[in-house]
Amino acid sequence: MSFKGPWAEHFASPAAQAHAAQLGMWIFIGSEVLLFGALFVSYGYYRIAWGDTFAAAVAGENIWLGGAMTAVLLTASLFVAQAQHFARQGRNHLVGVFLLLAALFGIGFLLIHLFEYAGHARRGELPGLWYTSQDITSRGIAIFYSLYFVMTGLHVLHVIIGVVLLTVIAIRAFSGRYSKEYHIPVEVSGMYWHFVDTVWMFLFPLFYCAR
Amino acid sequence: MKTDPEEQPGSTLRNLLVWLTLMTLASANFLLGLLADIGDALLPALIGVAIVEMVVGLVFFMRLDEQRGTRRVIFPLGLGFVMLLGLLSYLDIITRWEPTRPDGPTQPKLPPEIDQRLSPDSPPPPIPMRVKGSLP
Repeated sequence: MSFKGPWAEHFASPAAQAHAAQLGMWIFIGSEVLLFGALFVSYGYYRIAWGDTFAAAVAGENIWLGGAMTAVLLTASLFVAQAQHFARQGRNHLVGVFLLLAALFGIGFLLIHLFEYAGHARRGELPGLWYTSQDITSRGIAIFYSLYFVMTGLHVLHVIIGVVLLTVIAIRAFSGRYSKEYHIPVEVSGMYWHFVDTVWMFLFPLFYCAR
Repeated sequence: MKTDPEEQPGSTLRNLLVWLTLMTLASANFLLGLLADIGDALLPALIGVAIVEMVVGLVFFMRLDEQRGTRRVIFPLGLGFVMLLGLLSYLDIITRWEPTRPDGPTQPKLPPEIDQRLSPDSPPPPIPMRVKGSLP
């Protein structure tokens, strides 16, 4: 056997080990779908109840910033897909370069978000009792900003975890840890990043476009 | 899982095409949000585009097309459960007898400073609520 990489003895083959790792990541992503799904259902419920208020609040969001964040995140996903592609060829250096690029774009996304959050805080557009803006006075506005900060905040948390994960995998790639036969950590961390991107594909229209 | 690079011809080109498709779809949502004046149809249109985006990302970036067996069904199944939850919630709010939240009959008392800041006469939720006795 010429397999290069860790192979736990309770797996019949490296391929079985790789399949088990992918299955584990798919199950994890399935649980994430349920977590975010419940929040999206909450958004739908309150959107029906406070349609005008939500539309007015979305109209107040900076769609250009939202668009920029979308472009940054999608480009990071392209870099991750390229890293996965090169991992299959065993080209560790390129894997590391593209994962670091993706992590940098992830940090860019976080910085834009931070800038946006700071703007909301300055204008008093905060959740619940902390809402002090006079722009919209309907009671539904407190619910909107609660959902906005919980949903985008949870997504930001996932992006932070993703950036750390990609950086660690990139460092390991530079140290030659992966090969054509063994690159499953690159595959599963890439899946995680693409899922985080998928969540944003829904957050962007709901909080920046649906005015 | 395919590991032979020879089995992945043109992966870079494929990734670029997927990225371009996703950027185009995201731009469509951006333009819909910025320019479109289609009233109530806007939200379903935005969600429709987002669903297409999700499918493209799922199949080509997350490699759902390469998965077999259990690995292929987990994500669609989770999505199906979420859609069922959404459908049941929607059925609940369009068939409820009396509104409870928000602005239900027992509205929570807010602290005075908050109560003064937020309009006490906020419009009621525009849900087609039925009141007991209004049905034939």
